[in-house]
Amino acid sequence: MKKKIAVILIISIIFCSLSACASSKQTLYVYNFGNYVDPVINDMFEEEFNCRVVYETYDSNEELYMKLKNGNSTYDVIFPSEFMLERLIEEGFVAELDLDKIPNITNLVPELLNRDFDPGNKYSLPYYWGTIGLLYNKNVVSEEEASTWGILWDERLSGQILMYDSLRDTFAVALKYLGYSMNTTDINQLNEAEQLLIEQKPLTLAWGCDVLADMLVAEEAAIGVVFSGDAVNAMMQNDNLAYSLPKEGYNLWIDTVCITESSSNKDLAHEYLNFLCRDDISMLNTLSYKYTSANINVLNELKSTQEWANTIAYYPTYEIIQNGERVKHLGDFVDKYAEAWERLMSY
Amino acid sequence: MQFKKRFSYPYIAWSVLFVIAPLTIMLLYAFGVLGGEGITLDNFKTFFQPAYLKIFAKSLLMAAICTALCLVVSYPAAYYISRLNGRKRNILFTLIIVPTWMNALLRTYSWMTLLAKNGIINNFLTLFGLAQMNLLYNNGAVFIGMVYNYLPFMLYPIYSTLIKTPRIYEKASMDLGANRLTTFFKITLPLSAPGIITGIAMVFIPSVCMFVIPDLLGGAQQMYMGKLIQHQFFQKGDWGFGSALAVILTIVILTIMYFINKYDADSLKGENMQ
Repeated sequence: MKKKIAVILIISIIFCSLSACASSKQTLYVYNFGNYVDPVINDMFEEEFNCRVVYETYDSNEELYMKLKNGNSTYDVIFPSEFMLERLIEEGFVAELDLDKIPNITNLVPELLNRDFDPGNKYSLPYYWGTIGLLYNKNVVSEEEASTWGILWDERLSGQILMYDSLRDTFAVALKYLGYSMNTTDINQLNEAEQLLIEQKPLTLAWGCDVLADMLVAEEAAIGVVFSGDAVNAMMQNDNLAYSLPKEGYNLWIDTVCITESSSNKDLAHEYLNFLCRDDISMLNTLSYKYTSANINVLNELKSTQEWANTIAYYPTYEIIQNGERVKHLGDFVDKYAEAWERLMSY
Repeated sequence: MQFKKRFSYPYIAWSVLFVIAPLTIMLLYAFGVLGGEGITLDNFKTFFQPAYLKIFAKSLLMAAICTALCLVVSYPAAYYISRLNGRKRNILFTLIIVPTWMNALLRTYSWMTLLAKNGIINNFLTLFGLAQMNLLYNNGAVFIGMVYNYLPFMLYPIYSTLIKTPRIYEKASMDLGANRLTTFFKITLPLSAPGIITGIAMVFIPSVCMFVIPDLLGGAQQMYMGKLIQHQFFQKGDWGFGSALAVILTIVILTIMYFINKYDADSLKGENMQ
């Protein structure tokens, strides 16, 4: 028996020392949407700061929230969208930033700073931003038609419509088309939107997220609800595609980057945030995924060198920023959205 | 005896840790002991709403159709392969098993490439002047994907019972004057019932919960049980209701399997008495 214990002890000592060796470097845990930080950037950061970056991805803001809420998560840096950031601040999941440690904040677009969801950027920095609009095939849909969300209910396009598959964003389309706020807490308006989406279902070819833009590139469908960054990428691959922001209103979104309260390495996390705001890194990042950078120097440079950077999909004009509505955290009312969603999905 | 028992310790430890403990936690959540305000049946009551019942019924129906299709396709194939001689048999059998070495998601993506509007099959059709067809994002595509994915799980158990059945029984039946059809229905089919039952279990249970294939090939416009449960955990954060759904699903599946097994045992007894 003693022998056994001795053997177990020796083995565990060996393992402990091995793992100690491996972790002599500092480790930064980054949790982000898929395709949102070019992996090269993490490699560069590792080299420059002699650390290890563990990078994991999630599909939706809700998934991020559940991970933080239920797991004893080790994540240091996270990338919530503005409405989820509100909720995370409210529930104490994010740490206050020490802006002195992020001198590169001066590179960021002024309009994106000091927004209502985080006055004074106490907790977060803008990361990528953009709109959600319609990506359509010009051979099938005219510019005029694509100027309203109503085109998504047009029988002529039956079987050629793609719908965005994400709780709040899906309802935002229907609510906006009805002329309501995408943050409505009026149950009647929500029911109306639900009814409208049920009517739409037979007309849609498929629902999806990132895949929709690829399907439009392959001309599998004629029109779809797409994030602006994916739209830029798609238009570069297929000249028949165009992007529009319907007149009824649209979602202007700002994804943020922030540090978790539970982070055990806040200094390194600040370095990471500062690193992401650096001009060369921002440029590399935006060129990889075509999402609109929050770095003003990058935007100015792209605007003068790249034609695609002049589209409203990549670079929303001042009016577009002013007229967009952002998704807000609705507290418990979000359960009503989730229930409406389940009913919608049972059809 | 004592010695043998010791070998089962790893398995006992495993099942306590990874089967019994999670199931207990699930039950505690479902009845509101964890994450709720004391013991309650509210989570189960919530289930009896039209939307959830509809999703549940749809999942069972999809799984049943998928299982039936798998059975219809697999049985003749398994029968044929089991009657071949050694080498041919092994080659054909390997061909059926090989695709399972590849990731299921990858194989589903390849179906998307095949069935898409500008995909391989449609390109082939238009080459011969035939009209393009809408093959992807409908129930047909979902069943193709599901049957393709689960086929080996049905085929293998049927094949292995067929191959273990002594051929002498069939010979005896023929010698006693039964024709081939009667022999098949009276001897071969009943004797392969255990394989069919296993096959049904291995296809039906996972396909009730399947949501990746319906999402990818069906266009994600429908929700099935698997996705509904996932929705509770990751979107709504309602662990209690999510667990209750999982408990209900487990009970229904166990009940169905119990009756199938019972039917199987009864039919075997009946055959033996004759």
